[in-house]
Amino acid sequence: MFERRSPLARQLTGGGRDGLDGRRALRIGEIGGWELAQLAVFAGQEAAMAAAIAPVLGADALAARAGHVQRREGIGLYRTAPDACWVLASDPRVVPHLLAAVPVSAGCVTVLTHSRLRLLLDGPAARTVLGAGISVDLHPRSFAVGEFAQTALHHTGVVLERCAQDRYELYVLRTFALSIWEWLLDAALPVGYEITAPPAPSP
Amino acid sequence: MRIHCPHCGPRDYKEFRYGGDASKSRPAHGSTEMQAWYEYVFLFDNPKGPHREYWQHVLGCRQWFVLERNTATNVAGESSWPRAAGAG
Amino acid sequence: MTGGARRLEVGGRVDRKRSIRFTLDGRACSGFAGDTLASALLAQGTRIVGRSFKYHRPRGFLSAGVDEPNGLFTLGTAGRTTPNVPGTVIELTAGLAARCQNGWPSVRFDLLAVFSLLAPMLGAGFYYKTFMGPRRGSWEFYEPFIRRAAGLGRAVHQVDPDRYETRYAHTDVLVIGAGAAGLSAALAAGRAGARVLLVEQDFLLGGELLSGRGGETETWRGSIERELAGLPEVEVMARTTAFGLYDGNTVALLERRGHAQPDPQRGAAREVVTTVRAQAIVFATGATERPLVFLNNDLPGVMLAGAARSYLNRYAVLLGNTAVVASNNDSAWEAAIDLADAGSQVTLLEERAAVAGALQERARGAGVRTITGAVTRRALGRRGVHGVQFSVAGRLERLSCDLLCMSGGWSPAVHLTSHTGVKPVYRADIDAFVPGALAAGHFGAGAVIGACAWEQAVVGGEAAGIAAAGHAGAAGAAAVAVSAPHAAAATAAPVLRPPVGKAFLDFQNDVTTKDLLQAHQEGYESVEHLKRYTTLGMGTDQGKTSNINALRAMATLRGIDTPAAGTTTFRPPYTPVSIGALAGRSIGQHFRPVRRSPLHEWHAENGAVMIEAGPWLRPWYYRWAGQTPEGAYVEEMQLVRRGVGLSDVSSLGKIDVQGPDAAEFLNRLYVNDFASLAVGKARYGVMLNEDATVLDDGTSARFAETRYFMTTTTAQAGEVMSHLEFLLQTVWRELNVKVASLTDQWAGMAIAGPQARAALQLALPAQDLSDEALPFMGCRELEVAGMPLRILRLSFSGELAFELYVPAGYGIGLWEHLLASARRLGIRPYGLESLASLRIEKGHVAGLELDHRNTLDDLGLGKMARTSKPFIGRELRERSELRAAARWSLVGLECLEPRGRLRGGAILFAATDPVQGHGRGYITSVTWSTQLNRFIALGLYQGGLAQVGEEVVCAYPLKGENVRARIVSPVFIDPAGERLRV
Repeated sequence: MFERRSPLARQLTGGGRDGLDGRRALRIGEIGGWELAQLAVFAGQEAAMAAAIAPVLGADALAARAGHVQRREGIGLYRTAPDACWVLASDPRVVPHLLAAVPVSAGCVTVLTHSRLRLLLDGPAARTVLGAGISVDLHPRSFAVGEFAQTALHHTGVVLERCAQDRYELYVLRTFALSIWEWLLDAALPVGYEITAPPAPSP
Repeated sequence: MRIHCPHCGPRDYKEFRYGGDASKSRPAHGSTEMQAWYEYVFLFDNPKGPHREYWQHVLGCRQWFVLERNTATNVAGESSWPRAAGAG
Repeated sequence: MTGGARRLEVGGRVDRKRSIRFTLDGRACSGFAGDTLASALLAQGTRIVGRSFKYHRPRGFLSAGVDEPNGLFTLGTAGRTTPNVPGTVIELTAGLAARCQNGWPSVRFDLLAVFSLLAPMLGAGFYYKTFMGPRRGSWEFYEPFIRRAAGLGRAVHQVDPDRYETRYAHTDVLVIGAGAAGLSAALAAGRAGARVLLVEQDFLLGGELLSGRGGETETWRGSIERELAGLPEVEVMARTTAFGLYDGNTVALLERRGHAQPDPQRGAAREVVTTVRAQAIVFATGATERPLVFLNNDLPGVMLAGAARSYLNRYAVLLGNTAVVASNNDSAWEAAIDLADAGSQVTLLEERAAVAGALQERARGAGVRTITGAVTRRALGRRGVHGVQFSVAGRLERLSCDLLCMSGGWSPAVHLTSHTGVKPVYRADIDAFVPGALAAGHFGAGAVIGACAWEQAVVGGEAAGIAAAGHAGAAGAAAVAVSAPHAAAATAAPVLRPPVGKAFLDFQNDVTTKDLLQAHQEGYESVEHLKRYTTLGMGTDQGKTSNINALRAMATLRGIDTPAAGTTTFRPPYTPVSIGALAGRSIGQHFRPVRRSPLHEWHAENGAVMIEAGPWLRPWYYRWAGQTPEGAYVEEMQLVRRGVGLSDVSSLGKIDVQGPDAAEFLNRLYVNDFASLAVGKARYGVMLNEDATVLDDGTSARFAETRYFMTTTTAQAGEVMSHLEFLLQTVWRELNVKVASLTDQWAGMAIAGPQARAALQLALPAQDLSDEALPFMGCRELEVAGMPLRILRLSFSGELAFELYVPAGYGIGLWEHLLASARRLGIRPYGLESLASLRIEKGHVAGLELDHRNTLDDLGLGKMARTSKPFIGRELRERSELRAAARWSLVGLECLEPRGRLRGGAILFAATDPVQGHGRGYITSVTWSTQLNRFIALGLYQGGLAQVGEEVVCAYPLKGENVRARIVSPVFIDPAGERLRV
């Protein structure tokens, strides 16, 4: 087995910088230990798909609403399109199960684990930093905890999830990850940031 | 400018790409009528006022949809999914 | 300490305990906290602060706000230099370094004032007539001279070291302007529960209230400001200008965080541009006072009446001992009364014959002498006003004065509401243009809609705030009425006067009534022509004080009424915005994101020289092969032709195509047959645009009955992905196919050369990689050490080769494993330059040939088309023009001169042609061929391969080169493809 590398391996060294007021109002880092698959359903095959994935994802997996993360143990479901959702799993058995369970007549599964990096932005300044580049309204009235948005950051497509009042997770495209990271640190310069330790190697 | 994506809701125009005149329909695949293809590919009206256009939420959910945009005022109105396949 | 000869001992909003030091033209000066640069200079008795644009006439401050046309300064030094900032909006901060502009050697003693004597030559249309004249090149001759003499401040060429930022914001209700109307609107909306953003360009909230005498209005202002600060969903941004209104209720804000020296290294921004989306907008942008038009109305000491009042009440600066106030409306009477109360001897020249008795009473009580029916004709003086000439009852009279205030009424600041194309409309009762029909969700309040009186502003603001909150869906709590104390009305009821003699309309651009008359006589009478012919309103102030006067004057000349003359078009920005602020952080490395391969780190640490290729950063060549690209790529080509090399192809577009109809889908996309492609096989395919030009090429591999792995060129990856999605989501919705981008998921690498199989076998000893097990164009999915691995046996270089794909995180692991396993075979990495060169020798087309203008036949690929099946572009490909034999099509070129070199972009001529014009084709791609030991190229040439054997001239005029070459087949090596099938 080859070593799995993060494009941010050299950035995730801890440390950080103080902001203008001497504080570090953002914690930023990478989250590891998850797998991602895209599940797509053919028109008219919703029932067949729901039945096929029920043992893996639960009975109402296809009912996930746009913009709302549906959570269950070890799994997050993100309705990314009318006919598709992301399955984010911390349990490494989920994606292989899904690949085996979905019949080719009902839809398809595409493994995307390596295509994204999952970044953490935590702290009172997280919204300010994201607001420098994300044009979605992040006010809790319109982007509540448990909601996500597929949107643009620095000319690239990202998925942003609000996990708590001041905690966000950002899924960025792997090949753009270093550019986005550098952009985020630059945006965080005035408020100060602390880089979290390297992520746990994924199983 | 804000555009309403039928899946994601209102978003900044920078997340979208334009994809052409949605009032035209593509000749049936395999059609051998040169004139029909010629009209589909090259002949466009240039209306002042309401216009139906294809847009893709390319930096979002990547869905193509039809946007009613007023070319005189640039007001982006209703969005809808493309109509079920027919000739188009 | 008084803070200057003209500073009063008490009053105003300056903090006499906080002295602020600054420099003007290097001279040490001081003022108080709360001053602007203008008020500090005026307090010192400074009168002349600039020279006019064309005539170099001495000028003083005309106004006290953003409308200032005269008093422009250059701030900062070196890279921080900002030219053309009105002194009236510069908040005095410690360390401010200001310089005067447009005077040489100084504004007080300006040698260029000789231009005044040339005035007859410099009239309207001066630029066009003089320099676009019959003699060609005269503009080029005169331009440097004109630019030096005419003018404004100069931009510098140094890099601005400061940090500028951009950000997004959202709100229910955006209130623009924090005067009485705006404060009232913000509070009403805030109390109704809406999210409110209140922006104010000044550093204090209050607008015109700040120029008043305080008392009741000040108590009100203070209480509103405090309550707003306590509302959690109300944000107040001072020093922030809403400079543009755009589609979809988008407003651009410029926030000035300070003109002192922010520390960019620590992240302190000088300016921030915010793009705000509001559900509803309240425009409370106020109004601008109009000058009166009389001779010498530009003399230092002639000032707008409201400005003089503002300097007096806000900054405690009394600008004249003997003041004359020339007026045609009630508002100037307030200035006259305040000046008199402060100790000036004041005469008020009122154009109107009758004025409300109460106002007359108050003026009399304050000791103001009033003359009604008096028309101001001329300001007297040379370097400053010392008197005024006026006519009353048919007689000309004179008065001495050291301050001449004027007020020609007020023009609502309709700029923002007009930015989206809403034309302002004329209201005769106030003789002014007000915003036209406001869009849904837009509301106006206060002076901008003609409600100048302060109770009207407060009440109107409250109503607008409640309506805006309601529009935004935040009408929850019933709004508490904002209580409005009583104060005097200041309605404008101006009198229209025709232009007289040579008097200034546009102070900044030196446009006089004479210029207007000339423009009219020469037929430039529509307002848009008038503007461009005379340059009226084209300065950095965009004619805030001049436009309406000029429009009215032109209307009078044409014998039409003011609304019929119309207004010019208002466009953003309302006030100047620095380019740095618009760029924000999109500079340097943050200008655009860079795409890096999963193998990037390895390249960076192992001697790769990187090159930008579109958004990608790719290895150009490796230092093992040489220190220059010219030397290195040839070495790397030899490596692949003779041994084995490894290259990073991760940037190729990769697409997952799945579904029962996937085969049918690919068959419709590609010109060639994909229906018959067997599982375990890959095929090269070409896609056309609907118009039959080539969209892209690439390979698709069938890994399972319903699952394909498509690759595209690096350049077209995004375009192809959107194309596929368009077809599936709008055109062929009946097809059960799903696509997903895998470009970021998989790292890709090509192992190529005669030793490629041996090398790969060393890395994957358990796999059968023989020609029988994995033939040319075969593909296989493996699992190696629990890691998925895809192998495609295909070749871009023309040698035996395999493409390998692994999940991106394992990319470096596999890459290092391949290099280590096959070390004894001499395997090394090769870069983009040699990758591209190898394909030229093989005659493969790539991005330079696939430019969306060439057809399949142009690229020599016509035989690929399976015309018995429908594919995109099939019909339009048959157009006769696209089939013409003389079309430019793909050829190979061999250099015939041992010392000559071919160059990309060179124009091709037949040997017998004169070398001029567009030629018969051009070179697309060039390389040195290690196989043929000469330069070879691919190109497009008239008639294409029918011309094989012909000699051509490759002209490269940029270097003055004409090199001979011969047309040959584009396949320079192994035309039978024997090397691929071993």
